[in-house]
Amino acid sequence: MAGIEAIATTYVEDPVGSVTFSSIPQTYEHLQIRVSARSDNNGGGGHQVYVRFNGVQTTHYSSSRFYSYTWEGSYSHSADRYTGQSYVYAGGRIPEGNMDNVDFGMTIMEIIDYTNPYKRSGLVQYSGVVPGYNNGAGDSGSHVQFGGAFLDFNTAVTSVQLYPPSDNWSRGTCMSLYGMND
Amino acid sequence: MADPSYIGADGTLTDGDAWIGIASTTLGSDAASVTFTSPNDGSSTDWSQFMDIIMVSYVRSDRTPNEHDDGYQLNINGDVTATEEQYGSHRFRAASNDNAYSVFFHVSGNGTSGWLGYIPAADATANVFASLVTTFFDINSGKWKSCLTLDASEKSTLGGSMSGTMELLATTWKKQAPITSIRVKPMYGSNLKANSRIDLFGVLPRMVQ
Repeated sequence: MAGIEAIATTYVEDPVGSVTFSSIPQTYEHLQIRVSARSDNNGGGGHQVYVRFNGVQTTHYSSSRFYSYTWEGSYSHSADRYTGQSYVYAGGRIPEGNMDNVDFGMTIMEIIDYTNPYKRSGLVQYSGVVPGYNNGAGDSGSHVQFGGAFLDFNTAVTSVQLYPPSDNWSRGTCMSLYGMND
Repeated sequence: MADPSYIGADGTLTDGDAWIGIASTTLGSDAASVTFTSPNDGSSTDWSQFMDIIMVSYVRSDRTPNEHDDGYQLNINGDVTATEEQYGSHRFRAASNDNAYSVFFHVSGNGTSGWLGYIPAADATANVFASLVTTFFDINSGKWKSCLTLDASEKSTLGGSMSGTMELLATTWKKQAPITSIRVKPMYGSNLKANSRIDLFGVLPRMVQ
């Protein structure tokens, strides 16, 4: 058996509200999702990728991240935590509609031991966006972050939904799901 | 273009591995740079079939004098055009200095090259190399080409500024052409040191109905 197998790739041709990997085979040890994405929301600073496991929409998600960003010439770094949410808040970083339309955010997300029904479902991710000159020569919207999250249920992960906070994934967004074996 | 050998006559994958080893270089002597180029021949290592490319580097610079560290420089498709903001990067770094540490972030735009991280230089402890894992995303698309890098190196047993660093970086080349070559070199030093090693992997997608 191969070490890392491609399970499915979604390449967005028409804007769509979410991408879901469903009926995920329970035959791997871990999962990895690789994302190159942006949303068409009319915002200029970028936003998070939201994630749900198994279609769960109740307020049982927690996520934390530390990050560095730029906005209107100021640079900063920080860490924060979100609890009691109906989705993973910090699933990665994406540009929004007012940023250059060929600029896409990058995220690598891993879901470890996803078939185990006796553990909380969780993920770890790192992500980044570098804006173009039109966004102030890199002075607005640049962002890198490292984070983690979990769903407060013991359950195996059978589906993963990824969506932008508002509007749609833009054309050209691509997401690939990989299974990792021992 | 002929199908790669791992695609069977009926179009199914005969090799399930999603990561394909493309190239590996271990320097036998100091070298000014290392360049990888797509063979563009329809073989299983042709870059035109990959979604992403992953570059694993274990490298050191010869930068002198009195330097613990150097930058790790990127050029895509041989592009060294001195255009404003041609390459941009956002670096989030934690650095240690004996028992002190600092968190640092820096955004840079550069006309001629991209920044991939910090690597040890001549005054670092002997035989110390930096570890960097870089992923280039959606390399055959019409997007700007971007990569994420995680890197770390413990550079000196003597302490001093930047004796240890860890970074997460996003780097963007603001061109839309497919990536067909990658060159890495020291930002300030003359050479990558002998025994520096760089491995390249292609990541395949799986388009399903």
